[in-house]
Amino acid sequence: MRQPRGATLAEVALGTFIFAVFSLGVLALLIRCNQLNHQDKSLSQVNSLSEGLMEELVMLARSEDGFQNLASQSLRPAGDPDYVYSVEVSTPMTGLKKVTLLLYYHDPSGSAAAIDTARPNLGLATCLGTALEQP
Amino acid sequence: MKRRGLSLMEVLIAGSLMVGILITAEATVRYLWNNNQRMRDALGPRQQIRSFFLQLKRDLRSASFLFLGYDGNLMGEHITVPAAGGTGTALLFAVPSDDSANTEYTVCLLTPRARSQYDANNPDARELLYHRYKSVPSVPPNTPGGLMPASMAIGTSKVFDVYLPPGPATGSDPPFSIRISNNGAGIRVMTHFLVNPQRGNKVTERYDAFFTLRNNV
Repeated sequence: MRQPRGATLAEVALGTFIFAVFSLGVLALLIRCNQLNHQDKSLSQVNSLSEGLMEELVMLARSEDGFQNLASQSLRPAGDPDYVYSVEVSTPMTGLKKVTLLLYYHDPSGSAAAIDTARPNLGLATCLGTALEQP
Repeated sequence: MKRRGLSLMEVLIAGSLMVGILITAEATVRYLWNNNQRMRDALGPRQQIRSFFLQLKRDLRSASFLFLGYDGNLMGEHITVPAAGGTGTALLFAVPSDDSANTEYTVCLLTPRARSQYDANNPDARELLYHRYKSVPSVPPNTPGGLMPASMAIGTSKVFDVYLPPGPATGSDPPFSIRISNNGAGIRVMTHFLVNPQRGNKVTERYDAFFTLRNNV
């Protein structure tokens, strides 16, 4: 009877390699899932926060005084400690104002209105624009 | 040639290796499972909050009247709508169907309540009830303030399962809060959900929104 032999080094190495590739694939999938979940959370927060800030500006501009006083604003805290924002207001024609809201990621190691420029787009999270008519 | 058995040392080493591999595999599977569960726990309430904000934005933008300071029982819940400049947990408003002289109004109610489905891990969690009563004309015409929500026919309800923990509406980080601006035309809605999963850590996320009435008088 032929003696059963063990696995050769090449066989073991090949098996280990296939297992490692499969494991790394699963791990990469898991990491990507986590990243997407984090992005989804971040995008949801950015959307609700930026739309909320814009809505506040719209509310202010619905009165005559509010519309006249609507002006550009420098960087300031956005209510959520993770973000800061600025507002740019221009008057393309009489009785109409173009409002642009820029929401940035906040750099917690900097000042209260510091932008986290290490992030993509130099820290710009989103940019919203609207045109407001004089009431 | 005579086959010999494995030595004690070989059996011990093989056994140790097998135990090590099994422990690693079990830990990996458990980590994957917990991670998946955690993501599902967070995604559910987050999607519900997004849907809720969309629904509220659509209706509030065309709403023409807020029942500020309303106090009474509606849909089995005690409702107290904050006054202008106030804070509360309920909202009641009327949306006109069109701009005709005798338009009909749809009254919308928003209030948190205990979750319909019992969850042993989150026994105190609340959901959001969003109810739209059947539209009715106001008497006299175009005076939505004269509508009587308590006597209206029941319409359609939507429930947003957002896992709101109990807690006061006041403070800088409430679980759920509705704040009316001083001019009565702006509404800030603050939500901070909390899910206690069967396994793993708590999942908690905060979402705020602000809505401006564009059709109010």
